[in-house]
Amino acid sequence: MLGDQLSDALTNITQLILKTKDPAKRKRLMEQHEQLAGELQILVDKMVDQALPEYVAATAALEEANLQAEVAKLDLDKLAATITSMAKAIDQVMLLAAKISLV
Amino acid sequence: MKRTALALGAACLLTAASLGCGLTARQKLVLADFSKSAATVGEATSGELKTFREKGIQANTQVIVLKGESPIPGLPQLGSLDRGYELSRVQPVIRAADALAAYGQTMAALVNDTQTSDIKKASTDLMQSLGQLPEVKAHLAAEQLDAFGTVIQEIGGIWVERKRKQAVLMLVDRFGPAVDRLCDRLIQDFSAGPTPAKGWVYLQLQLTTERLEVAVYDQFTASATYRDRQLALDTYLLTNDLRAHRDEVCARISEAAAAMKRANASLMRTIHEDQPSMEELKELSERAGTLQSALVILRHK
Repeated sequence: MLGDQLSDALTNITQLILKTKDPAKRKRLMEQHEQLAGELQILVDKMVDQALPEYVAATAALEEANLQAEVAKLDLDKLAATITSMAKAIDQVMLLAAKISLV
Repeated sequence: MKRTALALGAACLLTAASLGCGLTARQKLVLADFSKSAATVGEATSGELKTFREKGIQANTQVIVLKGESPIPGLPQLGSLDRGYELSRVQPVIRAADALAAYGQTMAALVNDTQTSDIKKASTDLMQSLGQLPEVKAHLAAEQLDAFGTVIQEIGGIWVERKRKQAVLMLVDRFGPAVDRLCDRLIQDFSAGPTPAKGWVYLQLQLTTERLEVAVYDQFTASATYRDRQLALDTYLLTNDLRAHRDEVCARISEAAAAMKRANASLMRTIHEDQPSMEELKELSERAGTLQSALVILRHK
């Protein structure tokens, strides 16, 4: 479910922010954290049609980004890949939000 | 409305003869247990939602104090400190919880040797709570609710065991399906996942808690003095408190509501028997107890 994936993504990013010592990556993670929070707020605000292809794509992209984040939590050298993956997932969720005219 | 009440009353009186004497000891035990748990779960849930709103507004305020307003649309701003905890969003769930509590209190008032005034108050609260809920309004018209309330008060107020039995059975038969729908709402709204998927109350608390946690951490690591660190830590305690409520309470409310749904189904199925089933009641009683004890710890720490 998209809500569960967004929820996991937010938790993963929180943990990575607390772990990383790299200021640039931390800044980028904090921006992504706020974007994900905004997207989660949209989801909470409105029920989303789970049959939409954008919903499926956003859920899959977040699932992939969350897997990357789990790896990065153990090995911070993988953080850059996580940030890229999370950025793609955030774009997918934005596409979904645009589709259902929420933003 | 008066005519509906009279018709219902007449129907109840006509069937009274077939009901024999009052409630059996086992029926009283089952109803007393159920009513106590329903009141506990309803009151605890209603109280927690009020706490969530209060703490959510505090957390939103602190995030703005620490980081300023967010550039992301939809997140809390100075003019919307209650974002995510708006009355329009929280109130319907509080009403659903209040209705469950009032259902339990009405049942308890009818089963126990309660004064007429207590029965009147409990059933009035019940009808008012139910009348405000869309889940109930879709199935019962306001006139019907008023009529049921009148019948319960009139029959329940008479100190005759047989008539009390009649009133309790009518309460279960008529409002059991509404209780089932209210339970569904609490199960979904408070779920901590994975089944059913995380509900809005859980997700909203998570969103608020994690934004505050990141803001506090940022402030703490940038603090150069004891005083600055102390200020950041004071805010961190709010993060901790919110997280504890989210992790310890949401799932317990959802699970208690699921147990109440099962117990309610069993009650509707077997309460007309002299020896109704008590199997599902045990789980409900345990869940209600666990919820209550968690709240005692969280509210007094």
